[in-house]
Amino acid sequence: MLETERLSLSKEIEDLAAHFKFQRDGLLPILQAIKSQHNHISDFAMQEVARMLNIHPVEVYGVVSFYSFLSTKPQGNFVIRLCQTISCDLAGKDKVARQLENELGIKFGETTKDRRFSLHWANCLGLCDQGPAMLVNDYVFTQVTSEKVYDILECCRRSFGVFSVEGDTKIKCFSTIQTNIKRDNQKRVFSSLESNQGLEKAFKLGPEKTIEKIKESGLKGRGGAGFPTGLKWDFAAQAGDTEKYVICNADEGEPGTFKDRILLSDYTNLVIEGMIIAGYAIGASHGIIYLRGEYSYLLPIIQGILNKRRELGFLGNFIKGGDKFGFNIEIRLGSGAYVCGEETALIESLEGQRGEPRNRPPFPVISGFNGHPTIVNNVETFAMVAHILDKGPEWFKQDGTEKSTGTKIFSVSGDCLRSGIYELPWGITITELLKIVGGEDAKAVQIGGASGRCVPRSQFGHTIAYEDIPTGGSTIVFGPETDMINVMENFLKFFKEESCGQCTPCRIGNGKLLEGARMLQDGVCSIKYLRELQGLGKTMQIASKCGLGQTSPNAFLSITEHFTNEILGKTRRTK
Amino acid sequence: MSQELFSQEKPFSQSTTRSPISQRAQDIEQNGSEISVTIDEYSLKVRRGITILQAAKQANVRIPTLCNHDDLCIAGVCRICVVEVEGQQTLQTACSYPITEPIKIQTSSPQVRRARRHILDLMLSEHYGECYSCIRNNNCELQALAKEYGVDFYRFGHVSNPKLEVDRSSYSVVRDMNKCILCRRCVRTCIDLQEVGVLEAINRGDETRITTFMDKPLADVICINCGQCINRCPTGALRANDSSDEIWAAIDDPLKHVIIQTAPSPRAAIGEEFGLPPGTSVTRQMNTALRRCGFDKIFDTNFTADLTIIEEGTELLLRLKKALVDKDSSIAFPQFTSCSPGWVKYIEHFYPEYLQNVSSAKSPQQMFGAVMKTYYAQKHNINPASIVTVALMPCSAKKFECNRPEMNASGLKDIDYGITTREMAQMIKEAGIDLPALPKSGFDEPFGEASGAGLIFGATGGVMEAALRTVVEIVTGLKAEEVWDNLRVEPVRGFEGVKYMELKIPKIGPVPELLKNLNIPNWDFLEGVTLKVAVAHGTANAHMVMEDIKSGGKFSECHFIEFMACPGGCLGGGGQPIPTSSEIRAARAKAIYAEDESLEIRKSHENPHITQIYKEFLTDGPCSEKSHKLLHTHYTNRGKAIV
Repeated sequence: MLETERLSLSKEIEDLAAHFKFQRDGLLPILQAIKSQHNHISDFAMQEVARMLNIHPVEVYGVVSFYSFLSTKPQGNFVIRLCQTISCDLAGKDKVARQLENELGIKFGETTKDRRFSLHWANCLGLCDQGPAMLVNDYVFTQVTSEKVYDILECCRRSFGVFSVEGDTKIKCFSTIQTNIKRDNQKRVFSSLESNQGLEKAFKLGPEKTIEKIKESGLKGRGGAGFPTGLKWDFAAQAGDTEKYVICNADEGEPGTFKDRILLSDYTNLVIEGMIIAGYAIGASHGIIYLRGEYSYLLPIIQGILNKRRELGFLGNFIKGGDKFGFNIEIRLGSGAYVCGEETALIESLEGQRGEPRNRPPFPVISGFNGHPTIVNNVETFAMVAHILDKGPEWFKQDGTEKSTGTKIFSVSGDCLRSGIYELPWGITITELLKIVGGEDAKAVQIGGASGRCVPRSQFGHTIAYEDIPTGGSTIVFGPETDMINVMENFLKFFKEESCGQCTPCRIGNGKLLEGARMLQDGVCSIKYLRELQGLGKTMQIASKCGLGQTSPNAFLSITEHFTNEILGKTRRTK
Repeated sequence: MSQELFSQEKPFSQSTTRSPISQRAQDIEQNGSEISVTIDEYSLKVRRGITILQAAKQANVRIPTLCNHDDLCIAGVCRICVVEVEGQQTLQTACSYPITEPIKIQTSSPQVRRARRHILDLMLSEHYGECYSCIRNNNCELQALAKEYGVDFYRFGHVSNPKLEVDRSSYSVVRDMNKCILCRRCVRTCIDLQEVGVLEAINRGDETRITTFMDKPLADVICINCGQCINRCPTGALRANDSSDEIWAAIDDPLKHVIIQTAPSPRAAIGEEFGLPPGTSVTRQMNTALRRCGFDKIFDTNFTADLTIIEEGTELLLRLKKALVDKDSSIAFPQFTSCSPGWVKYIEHFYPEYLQNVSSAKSPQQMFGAVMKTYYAQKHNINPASIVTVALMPCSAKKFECNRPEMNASGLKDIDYGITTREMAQMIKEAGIDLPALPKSGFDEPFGEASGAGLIFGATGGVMEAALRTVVEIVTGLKAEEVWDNLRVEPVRGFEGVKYMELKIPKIGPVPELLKNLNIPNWDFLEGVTLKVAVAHGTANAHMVMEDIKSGGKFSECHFIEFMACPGGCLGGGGQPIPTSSEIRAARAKAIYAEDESLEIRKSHENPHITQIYKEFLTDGPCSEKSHKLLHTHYTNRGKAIV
């Protein structure tokens, strides 16, 4: 590297660091900026960042190597990330992958010699209803076929379409995303609501009564864990600290989930209003949207809405009608790490650390972002709030069961006729749901994504509810022909890669279960060893440090339990 | 930086400013109230906010741990200490779970036992190596747990080939990450306890591993060789770079005259390797053992510790004179000690702009080497080239120090090999010697007699105390015993991270004969001066002091500061027996101070051999040209850039 290049890179990094007041919580955005500017983060850049933030270079290296989207090796001008998760797998990602390799002459994980293309796998891009999906830099391509691969690469090579430098109108290849909201039976989130109605109601009620209303509604966290939202807010409200944070968990990474993408692109205002109400209720004036890096294309949309709200006086240091209440929101991007959807890992990530979940207690409501009381809620949870305040808890509770009130937004993909987004009441049976989505002949359904469980046909009478089968909304339908070992192998590979690597049961356990799945695939697993692995899975459920580790063996356990006959003694695959 | 920061005693784990919050000690309010806890069948009351592990210790219930270490902040990553807490769906880690309300705990329920066994099985499946070819055989926490849990087969398989190359690039530390179980004690030691920041976890998922910046060899990154990571590694993943084979070869070579010098700390700790309780001093049994191993001469490093005090103390007085009498503004204050090679490398990397503050006096180890291959060789008519100098040290950084290219004042490599307490114990065992059962014997002359001042170099504050005992007598003409009862300079003793002391010079005496060549007519310039000194141990504390000096705080007004890289000073060095803890370090310190009080000569300048060497050899006195050539050194501006 030339001395002048070093100097200019140093200056660039210093400016970036200054923007974040030389604080460690600026680390991730600084690295993201360097990466996008220089296609990688060099040795020298890492040391400069460390110097600016007064941390050790090896700590920066630890962070860079943790996140999939950051890289110490130079990447191509076009970074292609093909989704390898189950829905895209069922939709035929393997053929696309092979064709990409053929066209580019490189394998996954490599960069072409001319430094134009890099090829990587991605874990769930949140486009499960229109797979196989792939990202080229920030652009999304859906329903990719092996034939389309050539067109997309040509677009890149010749700067056509979305990659057009001159705004060429004869676009040959668009990046397209369908919204796919199925508009029947849309009762709660998707019902009509005038902007800021809920917020105004909250201002009238005052913070305490606002929390009361949320408590009365019985609203529980929509991310899947189902912690009562009102209670969480109450804890944070009572925590004695003048600085508090409201974090919107938009790190939607659970395989098979894509509802937050829709909410953030089409119902942005609703989500933001929910965040402001939460801030008002707990006494926080800072909000952060942690948006997964895979959704960076949503950034301008959300940014636009935030700006508009600021203009209208519904975001900023003084909010209309709020009697001196002010609330600001900033967006932070993730960098490709599923575990950052775990709330304490998310906070670590915001603080510029490796996304490793914390020990609990203390909980974030007591000690969260930078040690301050923090609530972390799912995008969908925030989207419910304004409706509840506007129309009342009773209206909300008309749907659902006693313990699971209201509706849930389902992301449906896999072997069914009508993939997409559905708003359905809690307590619906799987049979009913399959009928709605056109997947009656399913042999199993994965409820709750990779960390959820695989429900066999014999149990389709069960209801989807916190008290029966809980879910964050991911619903993947497996048709009669599905190879269940393949399903479990796919999920375990996912966890093996996405585990933060911190605790023993999750870091090594998932590898062992995956080895077991491969033994089953090869037809060489004894029942005795299968039982050992099932025992290990149960240990992982109770001994792992965080929710990721604790739920990671779920798919393995449910599939090996319900499909024992199918998976054992398989004839050796002929690959 | 506020004064409170230094005035109160703080555990090392809280001295850090930078550890990830997730791994920091739980910040639970400990408001003094008591809480009822049931652990298995025991009921007890515990202080609010303590962890389940601490409560279990109170109840004498054993909970196995691996990633937990009392010197370090909480990690909660290995999960071996899981217990059942009534009302919780999942198991909780005893090391991290704070007790804030009455709870019932099961430490050995069937699911706890099964979980622990599984966790152990998983660790063993990834842990490469056979116990009998491992340096930590019989002192390995993983091995001990495997025995405790009756592991008799590899439930989930076992790696048959090493995946990663062993890093032997460093003179001091060898890293074999194939044996790593990712407990991250080394990471917490390096980043939090020492604030050096060599090691960190990289990647994620099953590719997570501990490594250096960009996987560079240890020799190429900013490692200060302190070896504190070795002392805290539960397995054989980290170890010192051993040269005992070369030492055996020298002993076995009849043409070589093999000399060993022994530092103060190993004698207070080597007994631990033979099953003696910490704090058992075995100085004279060790002499016998070394003789039986075949060393030709056994000398006491304390002799050159005394020499260091004379040289370094004289340097301090010279600096004071130049500053106060000659009004030379280029003289750097405070003067920093230079005997800890970890600290020297630390300042070369992190604060090179302060290198002129570091005393130019070599460490006792290196002074000894230079004296051996010159003075001793001449006096006894031995060809210096046939002398092999071995240094028994509590330290891994000494191995690096003796390999510094500038350490060849004698024209040869001054010290050929540094060996740690652990390695020496191994050699003694290999020679079939049961050390505790040996008869006692003394050191060899002429460097066998040393003062208690040299001995206390082993504990934090010891160098300062030794220097004060001498400087005060030289300057005031008073007896040091009149200033400090029983020669105990209490303010610089103990394990507080940073110690500070002021001493008003009560009167001045004549300039002693020894210093006659220094061109100092009298001590008038020191009359009424308040001498300000400080002591810091562990580089995290050194970091605090250096930052304070940089910002012009109270430590910038000190005259003399002792820095030791290792927590507790040399007795907590990276070459000392494993395990280490604050209790063990305290016991070793107690042994050292007790031995000091048992000695007749307790002041460096009263050591007759010191008088003799200045009479016979270094005839121009301390800090003269000859002493500079042999006993002083220079430092390298290394900086922080990793290339």
